[in-house]
Amino acid sequence: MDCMMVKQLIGPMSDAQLTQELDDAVTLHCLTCPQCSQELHTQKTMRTLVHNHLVDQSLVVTDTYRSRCMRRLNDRFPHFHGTASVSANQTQYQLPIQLEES
Amino acid sequence: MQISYEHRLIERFQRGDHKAMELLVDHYIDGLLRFVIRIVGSREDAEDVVQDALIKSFERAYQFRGTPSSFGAWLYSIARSTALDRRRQLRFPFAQMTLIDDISAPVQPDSNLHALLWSAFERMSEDDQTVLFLCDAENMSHADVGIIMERSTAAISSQLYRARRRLRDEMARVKEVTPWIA
Ligand SMILES: [Zn+2]
Repeated sequence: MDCMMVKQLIGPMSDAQLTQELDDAVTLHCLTCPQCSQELHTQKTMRTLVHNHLVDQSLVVTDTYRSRCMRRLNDRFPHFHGTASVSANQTQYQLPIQLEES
Repeated sequence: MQISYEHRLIERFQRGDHKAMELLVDHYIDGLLRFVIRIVGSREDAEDVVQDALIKSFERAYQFRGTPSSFGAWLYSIARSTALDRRRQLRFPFAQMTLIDDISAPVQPDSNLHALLWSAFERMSEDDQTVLFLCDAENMSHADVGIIMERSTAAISSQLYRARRRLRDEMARVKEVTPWIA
């Protein structure tokens, strides 16, 4: 496998999209090719960095905001079954009032 | 969310099942807020955009014949265009992102690396930021990101691989000019 072919496979490899056979072939090539090895390192490192640092998982919507959204949606679809519940807590979804139009 | 499960929820929603709509909202709302806040820069504006996007998407899904191939991609696509419109109204260039309190991520133990990454990321184009954010941070499929950005799956893949290289170069540049960061 030459550098040109390996360079096309490095991206998919960093996303774990290659078959084991192709994955092994790229790994083997990178052992002896500093340029491709560097590219593989870049793709894997940047992917991990972005994944670990760019999303603030603590940034979530508030219950008040969620309820506001559900109220707007209920206003838009008033004839839906069980529009009474807007609770964020799934366990509180009980006895929905049937508002279906005939 | 698995596509088959999402399809079932959409079908239930189209039959007027409120619970299905609620489950879809719960699945997407936090990720949407994180995505949009990065574009518009404030939580208040992001919340308006997300709410509008949810309503538009459900209206469209309700009127749609059949099941959309990916409701999530649809939702993000509408949120993105609404957010970009809002951003244009605010005349808020991408380079100003550092000033925004709402999206400055919490301080982490390796905060030098964290700061360096953010600093470099903020200097990238909106397209680069979007592919990196959706593919690598939110783990979306390249096909779904293609729907969101109106490009082919192959185009998204190559843009992502180029964006990762540009991010590395930008981090190296930032590190050079701001040695106190790292
Ligand atoms: Zn090579």
